[in-house]
Amino acid sequence: MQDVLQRNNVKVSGTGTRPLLFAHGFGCDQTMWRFITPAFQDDYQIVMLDYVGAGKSDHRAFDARRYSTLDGYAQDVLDVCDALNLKNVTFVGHSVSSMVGVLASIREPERFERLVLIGPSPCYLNDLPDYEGGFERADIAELLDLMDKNYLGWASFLAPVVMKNPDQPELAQELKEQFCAVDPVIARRFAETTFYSDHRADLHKVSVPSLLLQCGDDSLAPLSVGEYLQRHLPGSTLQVMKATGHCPHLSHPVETIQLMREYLNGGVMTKALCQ
Amino acid sequence: MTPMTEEINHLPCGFLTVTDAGIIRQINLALLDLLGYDMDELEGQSIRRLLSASGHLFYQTHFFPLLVLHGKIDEFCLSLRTKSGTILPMLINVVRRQRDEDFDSVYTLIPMRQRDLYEEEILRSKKAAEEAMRAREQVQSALEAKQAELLQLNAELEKRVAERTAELVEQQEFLRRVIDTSPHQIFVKDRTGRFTLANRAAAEFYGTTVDRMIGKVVADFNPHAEEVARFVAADEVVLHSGHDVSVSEEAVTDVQGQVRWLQTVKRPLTSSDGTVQHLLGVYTDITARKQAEEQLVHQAFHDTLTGLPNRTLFLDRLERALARSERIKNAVAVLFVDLDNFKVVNDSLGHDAGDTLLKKVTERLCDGVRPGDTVARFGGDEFTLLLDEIGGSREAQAVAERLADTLRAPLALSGQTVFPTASIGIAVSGDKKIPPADLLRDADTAMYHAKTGGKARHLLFDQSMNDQALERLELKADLRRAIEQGELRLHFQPIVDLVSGQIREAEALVRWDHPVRGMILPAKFIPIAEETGLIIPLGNWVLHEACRQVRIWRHQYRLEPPFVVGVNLSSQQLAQSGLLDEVVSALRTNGLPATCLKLEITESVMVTDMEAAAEQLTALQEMGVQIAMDDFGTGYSSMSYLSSLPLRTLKIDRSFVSQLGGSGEEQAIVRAIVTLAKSLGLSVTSEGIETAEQLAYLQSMGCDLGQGYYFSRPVPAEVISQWLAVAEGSGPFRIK
Repeated sequence: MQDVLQRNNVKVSGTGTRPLLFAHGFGCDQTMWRFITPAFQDDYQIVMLDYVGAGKSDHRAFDARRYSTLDGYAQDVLDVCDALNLKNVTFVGHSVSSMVGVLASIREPERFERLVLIGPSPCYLNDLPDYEGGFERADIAELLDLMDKNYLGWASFLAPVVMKNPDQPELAQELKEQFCAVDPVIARRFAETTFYSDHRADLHKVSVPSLLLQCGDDSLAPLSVGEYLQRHLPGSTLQVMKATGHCPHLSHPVETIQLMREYLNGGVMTKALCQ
Repeated sequence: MTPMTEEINHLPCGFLTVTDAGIIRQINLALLDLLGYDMDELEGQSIRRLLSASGHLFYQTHFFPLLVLHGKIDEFCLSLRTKSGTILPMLINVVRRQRDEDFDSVYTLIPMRQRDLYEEEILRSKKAAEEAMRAREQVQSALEAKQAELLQLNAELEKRVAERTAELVEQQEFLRRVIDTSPHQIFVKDRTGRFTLANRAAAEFYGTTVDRMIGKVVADFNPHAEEVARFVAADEVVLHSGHDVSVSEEAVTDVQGQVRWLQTVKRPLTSSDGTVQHLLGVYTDITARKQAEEQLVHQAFHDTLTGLPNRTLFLDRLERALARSERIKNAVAVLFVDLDNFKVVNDSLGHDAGDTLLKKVTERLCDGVRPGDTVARFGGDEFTLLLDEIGGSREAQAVAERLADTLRAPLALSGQTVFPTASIGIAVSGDKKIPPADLLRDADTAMYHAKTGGKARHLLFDQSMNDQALERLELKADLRRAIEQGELRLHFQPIVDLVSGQIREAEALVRWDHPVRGMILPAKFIPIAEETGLIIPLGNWVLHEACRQVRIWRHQYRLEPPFVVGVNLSSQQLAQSGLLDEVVSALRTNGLPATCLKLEITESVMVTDMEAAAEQLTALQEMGVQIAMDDFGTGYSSMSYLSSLPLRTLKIDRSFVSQLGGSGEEQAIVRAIVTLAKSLGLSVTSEGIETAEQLAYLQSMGCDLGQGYYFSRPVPAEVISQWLAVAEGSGPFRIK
């Protein structure tokens, strides 16, 4: 039996008791939460994970079959919850992790209290005229091509930093901790899994209330997608941010923290009401 | 909008600043030229304007997070979109920096140089490698699936093979059982004669097992070199000619050393290449059939009771012996042996006793001849002996004598002691060639003469016997007619009181007045009558005729004491239950008292059913009929029955009387008989008195009555009548 906490490089911190589980998005790892988590350190039990293939997870555990659907990633989330025996979890997921959280909550609704979904999209591909995901299949193919083109530089991204400070290993280690790391091959697979997925049909099964944080000018999650989600995800609250782009927790951490706090403290909608 | 310094504006590379929100803050002329835009078309616009959809996606998901987290990105490939829609691959270096409250990123962009393109090529190679890896994974996956499929297929195949193997094994076992169950020996040999297959019957024949037989040769089991050589020779023929070799009957010695008869078939087994590498042998044990055949053959040529050769085999051997004797100039003798009184033994003591007698006689005959001689049973009580390569008739007679001696030894049969005798006829081949049947016939003829000559004797054939035999055959045919047509005549021989000389009795003796042959004596035709059963009507006729004649005499003459007529009684008559009725009928018809009749029996009668005979005789005696024992002193001379039979008279056999006056021995016998008779209260009649001397002797011995040529030969009734007329009322009288 593999140690799930090691497999997913699970980091637990914080002095609170209520679990706040952070799941990173596509193309990065748990380091992307570093502007957000300090704000919740006192009131929550902060749990962060790396998906297999990202950050310091055990890349050897990558199972192409298991991770060919988002259900495989949802299983990672549930495995971590189970390993830590987490209850009343508030799940915070970025980008593709939004849908991972949705799927996990469908599987084990009693384990989750609320979902905070940043830049969520149930489907990235257009399904005109009913649904505008933002991309055609050709766009996704191009993205994959672009990822391939940057393979070499990307793969060596961390190495120069570490190599440039050979006499200061502590610094190198610290720097390393701060840097986002992904296995390019696995990331490419993840991209395929992510951008070809379609979980619109699963939305109605969700029984856990959720906060949808929607940025402006986000090609991955256009406003129309946010509105679609609000309509189809039971118990969801749509919050359109001033922030633009796809990574408000990176580009606009202050606003992100503020909206999360309001939601978590205010309890705009309780789980019971949602149901 | 921050004004751009001239230097930057005129940098030979593209220059761009973008806020974290993705808004283009500055762009230099070089880049504007490259993209085909005017400054005011881009400043304050989203970076998205310069990127393709996927480019922006990449920017958002990868590029921007990395930029934020790392602060800079070196040598990134990113394609920009010109105003006209052309895609330009650019090499980008970015640094993120804080400006006031905000962050922006400074980009320098240069079109992809040859090196970059080269790197792109490397990337493509990488990509190709990746795809190859993926393809390999797919192939691997497909292979795994295929392997699983193959494994399953293999398992199915193995199962089918196992099933098929089980079927084959079962089939093989079935075939094994079939050939092992076969009663025939079945085997296969290779060219070296080694068994490559054998069934149980084949193994058991040699007392071994199938397993031990394989790889061995027949000589390992059969110690008989001659048989093995025969097998090997047959094998050679089969293997070289390619043809079957069948032997319908072959004697082979089995493990017990018993010779078994086998019907053998050997057949070549042709290999797939057309050559004969093996032969198949199938042996059928026909011993039982063979034995049955031999038994049948034996039965066909042998007598079942005694095991002796039968007539057919005897004739065959006789023929061979004669043929041989012709070559080597030697004689062959045939002895025809007919047991005396066998029918009597058979009738009185039963057939089992008869069979026992025949077996004993067989033993004695076999003991009595030389090893090379043949003893055969012809049926009934007839035996024939073939004496091969014999010196001559004298030697044959010596053998006959020896046989007679051997036979005569006393033999216990059902509580009775008998002394078997036989009548033996001898015929010897001479210089002239003679057919076997003729020689046998001659012996038969001689035997007949011995039989009719008084039995218990042997006679050598001579040619005259043939004439007699012929005569007999004719007489046999004529006898019935003789009885029916009244050709029989009665003669009477007077019997005289030896003291007074008076005729007191007369013995009736039958004659046959044959229309061609003239008068025939009873010795010639009585045996024929006995053989044919005509003795019964003949005997009855004699009885009635004698009584009729006595009645006439009694009516014509005063005869005191009453005249008695003697009538001979054959053993067949005595054995007949109707005898008493016949006697009563004869007496009544003629109104005679029973005391006028004297029935004469012979000693041979006693050997038959003595009890039954005694019973009949007692009944007759009680009626008043007198019983005389004829020919006393010959044959089965046993004194024991004299007291048990109701006898009145003993008649001394003529053979004793004719010797009187000779040796003292004969006188002593006659005297003893007379003394015996007197002691038993019997009268004595002497037969065959021919001289006065004999008469004197008999008178001196106290013999009561006598008959013979001295007084009178048997004469017709008229002659007796004349005498009776003369003698009527007179004293002593002599016929002469």
